Amino acid sequence: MPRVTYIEANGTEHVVDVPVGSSVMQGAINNLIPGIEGDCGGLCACATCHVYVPPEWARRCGEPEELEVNILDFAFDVKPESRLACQIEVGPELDGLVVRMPMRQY
Amino acid sequence: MTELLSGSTLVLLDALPEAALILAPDGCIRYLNRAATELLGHERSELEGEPVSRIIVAQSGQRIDTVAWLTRWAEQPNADQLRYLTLTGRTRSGQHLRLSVRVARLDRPDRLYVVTMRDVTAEQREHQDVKHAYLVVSRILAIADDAIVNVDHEQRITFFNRKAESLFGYRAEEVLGASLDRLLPMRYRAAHSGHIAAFQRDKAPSRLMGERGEVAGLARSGEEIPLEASITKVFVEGIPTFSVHLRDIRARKTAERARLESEQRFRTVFDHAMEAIALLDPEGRVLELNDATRALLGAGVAAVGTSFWMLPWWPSLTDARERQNRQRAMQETVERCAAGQQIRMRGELVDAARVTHVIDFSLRPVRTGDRVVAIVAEGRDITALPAP
Repeated sequence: MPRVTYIEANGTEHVVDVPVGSSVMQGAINNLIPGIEGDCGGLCACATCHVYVPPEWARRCGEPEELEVNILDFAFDVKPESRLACQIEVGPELDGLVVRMPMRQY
Repeated sequence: MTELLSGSTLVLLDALPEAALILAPDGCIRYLNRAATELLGHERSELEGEPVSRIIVAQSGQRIDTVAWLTRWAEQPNADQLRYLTLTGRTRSGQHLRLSVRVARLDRPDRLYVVTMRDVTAEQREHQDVKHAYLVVSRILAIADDAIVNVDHEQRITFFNRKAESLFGYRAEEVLGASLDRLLPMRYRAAHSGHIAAFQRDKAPSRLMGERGEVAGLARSGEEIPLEASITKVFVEGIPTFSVHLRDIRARKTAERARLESEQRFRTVFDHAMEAIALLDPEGRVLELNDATRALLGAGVAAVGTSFWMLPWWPSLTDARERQNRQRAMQETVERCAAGQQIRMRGELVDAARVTHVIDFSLRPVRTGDRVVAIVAEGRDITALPAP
């Protein structure tokens, strides 16, 4: 099972195994990781699963669709490496993925 | 501007409990109703003709273009987005509000649209607080040292923490929704639902399981795990949820067995020794004694707890004064040992049949650091031993 490291804004790291086929957001929710809210449940409609994906992982995470780019308008402290975790599907190629969480989701 | 709206429409807008704005496609405020003036603290005249960005703003690091989003929603309302996304409003005094909005285009050639705004600041804060509290409690349960398994009223698993995962060898997602039976040895399954039903009716909110016998779980590997278990019920709207806390007692059982075996081995040596051996506390009271000592004292003497010198060592001695002297001498000897001295002496005992036994007698102090914590008394009958 691919291993994903979630780093909270305060530096706390959570290393968890996320089943193939689920999203990076769902992996955080299922493992009770603070810093990712996922209010809409993965509809790409709330911008509360905002994460930063380091450039070395960006390509493997796939290109964000237009809707995701648009909804990111509502996230806080948006950067070029910003993504919505619900739109990143975990596959074997993401084993070792590291994502960082922003200071706030609301 | 407002002359474009009929008087009855304005009356209706002003009567609305929700704040409402009428915007032009360029984001210019054309009208705001009474509730909007109250929400934002502005006079109507201060905002009419102003850009909506005066009152709906982007916050730190947000790249939102409010007018573009409002126009988009005016043309094509998106229920999901409007349900979950909030905008930030700014009052005249500079206070920020979280606003849930609805947008509808008016059927007019000038494409004016209406934005209704609901202040959800407190609601969102409350929601966040509940979520935060839930997260804290869930994380505590998730990493608890006990395995915790929750089941619903149909005994389907609804919560399975990390310790439960490692104990039973299943990942939570594999067992969530499954029947609790999967975690029970076959022979317990039939009776178990009856126990849960009985507990549901019971007055006690929680109880220790296994009062009528041992509790065991069934791991994925097929191994049966002896468990200590307690169960708690919580009724929400009349429907019970059961929370079971399980502790793996395999290690404890193994340790208990090892201790028992070791104790038995020790006991075997102790009771089969030729010497009479007794363990005394520093005050000289008997804590333990072996079979050889019992034989020496005769059957039926309750020695444990009695001062060593008060035991019937001289059963045939009838002279009370003489007995007292001997007891006092033995007490002094024990006290010397309690003070740290090792004692070895030759003594004589006359048993009930008036047979004299020559005894090689010793008292040795047992120390912890400088302190004498116990005394080992030993006596060997050397009457029949040929002189060297």
